[in-house]
Amino acid sequence: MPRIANRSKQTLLVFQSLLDTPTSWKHGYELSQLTDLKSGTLYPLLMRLSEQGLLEDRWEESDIAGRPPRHAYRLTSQGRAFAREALSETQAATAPRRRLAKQS
Amino acid sequence: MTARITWRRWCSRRFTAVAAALLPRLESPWGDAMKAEIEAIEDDRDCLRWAWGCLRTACVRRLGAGLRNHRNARSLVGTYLLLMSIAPLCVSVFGMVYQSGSRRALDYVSQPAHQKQALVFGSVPLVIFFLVSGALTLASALAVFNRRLRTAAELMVVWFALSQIFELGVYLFYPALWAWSATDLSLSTMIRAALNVCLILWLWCARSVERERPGASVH
Repeated sequence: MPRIANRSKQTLLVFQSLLDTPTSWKHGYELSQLTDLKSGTLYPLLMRLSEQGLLEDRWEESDIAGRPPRHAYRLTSQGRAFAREALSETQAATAPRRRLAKQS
Repeated sequence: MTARITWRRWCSRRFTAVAAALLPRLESPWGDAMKAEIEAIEDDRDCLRWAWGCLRTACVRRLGAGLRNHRNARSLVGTYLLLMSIAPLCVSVFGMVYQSGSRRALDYVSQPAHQKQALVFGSVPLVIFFLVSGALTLASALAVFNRRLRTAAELMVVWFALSQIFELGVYLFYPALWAWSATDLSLSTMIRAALNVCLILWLWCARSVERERPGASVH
């Protein structure tokens, strides 16, 4: 059974950017620009999420003629639920710390 | 007229082609995705950076999958770790026997050829270090045999960090022992150290790769 942790900062960034427009498909490079993650971090993460069934992918024809189809990604319904839960848990955990930082 | 390909673009294509070839069979669609993605990146510098990341990912996945999915590789690594754990465990056991005042141990260490070893056997922190070090490598070996590569990798990282602290501690607090071990620094010691670093990196690669499931469909 694959390990389901997915609470790292990088994973949460990917969840956040995929959840912003949950039904639209995003390409790898686009995700990298949205999250500031490099391909060496992003691909292992996408592979893991895909193995866990949290991410779905498809090939999309390029708008420009002569270019190969690109891989596009979005969260599955299970992935969306998981991502929302992970993000809200993290926000709940960091809220007191942020409040303290504001007060000081 | 054909557009001129810059060296960065050329390297990017080569890197992603190698990455696609390196990825394990079940992950080959990801290799195609990497190859396709660089064609959509307009900036050549970005493209090269992207391709370099893809190549790194593929190397890590290939190395990790090798250890994760091949029993022979795991047996080899596990046996090496098992052998590695024997020496520190023996030293710690002998140290404990020596410190308990065993006559045979005292006689052994009192021989002129073994007198330097009294520095190790007589020191409680060193005996504890060898015990912990041996236990960590033994646990790591067992984890490899049981296919718990994440645990094995983490144990070996702890072991490595502990070894470095130990070296520093010996240098600071046991200068005589440091001088003795420094003169004993041979090529084989250095090769073993390099091998250990490679082994830790290999285990670290394998820790993030999921187990290949026979008949698992990808995409």
